[in-house]
Amino acid sequence: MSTKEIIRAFVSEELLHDHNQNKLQDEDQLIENGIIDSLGIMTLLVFLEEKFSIQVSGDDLVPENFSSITAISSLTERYLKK
Amino acid sequence: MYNKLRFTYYKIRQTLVERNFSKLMHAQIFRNRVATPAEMDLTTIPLQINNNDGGDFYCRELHQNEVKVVAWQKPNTSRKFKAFRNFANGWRCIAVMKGSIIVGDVWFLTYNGKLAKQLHPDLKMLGIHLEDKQAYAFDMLINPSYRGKNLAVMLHKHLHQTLRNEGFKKVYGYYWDDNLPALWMHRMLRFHELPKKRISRVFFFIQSKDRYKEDSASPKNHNSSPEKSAKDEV
Repeated sequence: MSTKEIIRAFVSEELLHDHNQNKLQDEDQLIENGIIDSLGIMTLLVFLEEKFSIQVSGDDLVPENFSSITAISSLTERYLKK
Repeated sequence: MYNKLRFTYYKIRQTLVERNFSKLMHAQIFRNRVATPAEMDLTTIPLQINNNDGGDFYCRELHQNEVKVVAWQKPNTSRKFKAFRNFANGWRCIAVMKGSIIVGDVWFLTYNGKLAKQLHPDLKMLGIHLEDKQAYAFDMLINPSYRGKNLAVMLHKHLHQTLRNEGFKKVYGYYWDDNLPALWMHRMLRFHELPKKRISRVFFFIQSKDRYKEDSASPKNHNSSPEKSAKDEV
């Protein structure tokens, strides 16, 4: 599975209320649609740090980096390349 | 005085019931905890009637004469006694409600020609000097049973719109850097982050220092963007 697929599966499973992975598109607005709120971001960060062994720094904790599956995936891949 | 004692009693009782003694102590005694004051320019918000489109939940201002009438749900019952004290200080409250039950609330004080009866101690701690048409928001709490529904953002948006409609220009707030949900909420709401403070506290004794004056000789990141400000917190 690619990084994007792993993240999409997690968001669908854990943060999307009806768990429908097919519904969630890569460019869907996760923050505007209330999928990632202040608790959701914590759940997601723990997942990213455990799954990909990365440590997301404070300056990357901005809505732009978590606005969509694509944005989260880009952020993760940036850390994986470091 | 009576209400303050009742509030303290309920707070301690709640702590004992929840076996949260270490959490309570952590809030009362700490050293060099980093706080980020933040401000928001309210003039960028369009003037409009506050709408309540949160489904089952709605927000409204709570008034002093309603404190006994509305239902304060466990484990937030101690908030009721805090409310008596806060209203006596001239502070105001916006609550998010489900029916007649309060599921969350945020407090604020304003400077609108004259200051509230009592200034909040946080202002001194954070080095915030309120001017006319400015407000300070503090002490937001969402009942744990209702968290994860974006109610904190809904509550703050309602507060900002209320202040904007009353002609206020700026609202201040702050969050602890180790409180990730609060950090996230402030960034989602596009607060502008101010220079960080290092706070030490032993009950009523609070010491506040400008973080960068100690950490670095160069004044970098002062009045910087959220992204830059956050760089030093990790």
